[in-house]
Amino acid sequence: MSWGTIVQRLFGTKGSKDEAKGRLQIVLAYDRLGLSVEQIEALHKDILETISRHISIDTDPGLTLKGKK
Amino acid sequence: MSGHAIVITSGKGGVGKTTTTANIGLGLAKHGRKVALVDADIGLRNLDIIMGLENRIVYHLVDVVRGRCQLRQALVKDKRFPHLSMLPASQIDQKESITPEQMRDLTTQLKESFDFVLIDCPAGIEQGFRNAVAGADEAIVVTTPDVSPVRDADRVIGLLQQSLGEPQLIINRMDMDMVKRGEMLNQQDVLDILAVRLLGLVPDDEEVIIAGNRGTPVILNDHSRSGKAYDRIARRLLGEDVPIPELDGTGGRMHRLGKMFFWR
Ligand SMILES: Nc1ncnc2c1ncn2[C@@H]1O[C@H](COP(=O)(O)OP(=O)(O)OP(=O)(O)O)[C@@H](O)[C@H]1O
Ligand SMILES: [Mg+2]
Repeated sequence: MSWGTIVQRLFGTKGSKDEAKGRLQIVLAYDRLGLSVEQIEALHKDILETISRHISIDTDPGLTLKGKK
Repeated sequence: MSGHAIVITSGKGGVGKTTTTANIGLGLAKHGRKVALVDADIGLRNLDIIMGLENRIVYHLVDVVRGRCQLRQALVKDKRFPHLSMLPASQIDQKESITPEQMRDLTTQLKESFDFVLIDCPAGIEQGFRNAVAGADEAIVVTTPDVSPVRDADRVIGLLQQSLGEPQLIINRMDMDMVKRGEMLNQQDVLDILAVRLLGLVPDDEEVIIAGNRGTPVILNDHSRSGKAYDRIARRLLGEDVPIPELDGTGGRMHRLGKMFFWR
């Protein structure tokens, strides 16, 4: 246990492991789908179309999902 | 003027190639160089998650080779250093989906825009290795001070000598407490066996794992011993005469125990 760990325990700050877990969950979700760029873009387009049928959204290309941002 | 391409390889898996690529790349970028990192581990990409760039990938290396996108579209810029970019590997293709010639062309193209091109090689000595080495001007071999990585490093050094010439060596994950107890090969032992130039020593450091968790490579942590070691390595690559210090025992298990009781 390092000094940093003691500080974390005392002050209740979180270690980096939760960050690791969250990042892994997102990355693996994409890895498991095994989608190509075209498929991700098509999926994204469909999602946007579906949403826009119910609420008005800005489909400005700046907002389009490029990768997974 | 054309840049310089360096492949980071090892033979044995899991000894720290990706960690080394990320940290040296950031080190060179910190010192103002234009750097491209290439993940040549097709099918098992990891440089993205170690660099913390995994959410910004659109295209990848195989897309570029297949002409599905422009090279610059596939390069992911690192917001921390705008003159640092990463070319991700594909996660859904095989090592055999590209050829050494294609890698050579790609590297040549990257060298036109970047001072350094660092290629993260997959483990093994098969097609993935041949691809990664094809475009490189020189090689860095990473090993840990255990018997099987050193043995595999020797094999890789032999292969490299036939093609690229003499590689330089990084010994990673040195545990000085174990070295002091005589339970781990020291730097001289490894050099006696491998007979290559030593580029640097990196201590075994839990900060490397924390850095991986966060996607913030350890060289960005100014206080870590391993980060400092990577910075010295980057400066040596830039031609600076930075002596290789004897790693001290601090940071090993006993030191961590000590740190529980004393502020250090
Ligand atoms: N100096 C170090 N101290 C502590 N842990 C380390 C160090 N270097 C690397 N590691 C850990 O070792 C593991 C393997 O590292 P890395 O992924 O860089 O190896 P690799 O050679 O690229 O592996 P592969 O052959 O699978 O591509 C990682 O979990 C990393 O956090
Ligand atoms: Mg790797």
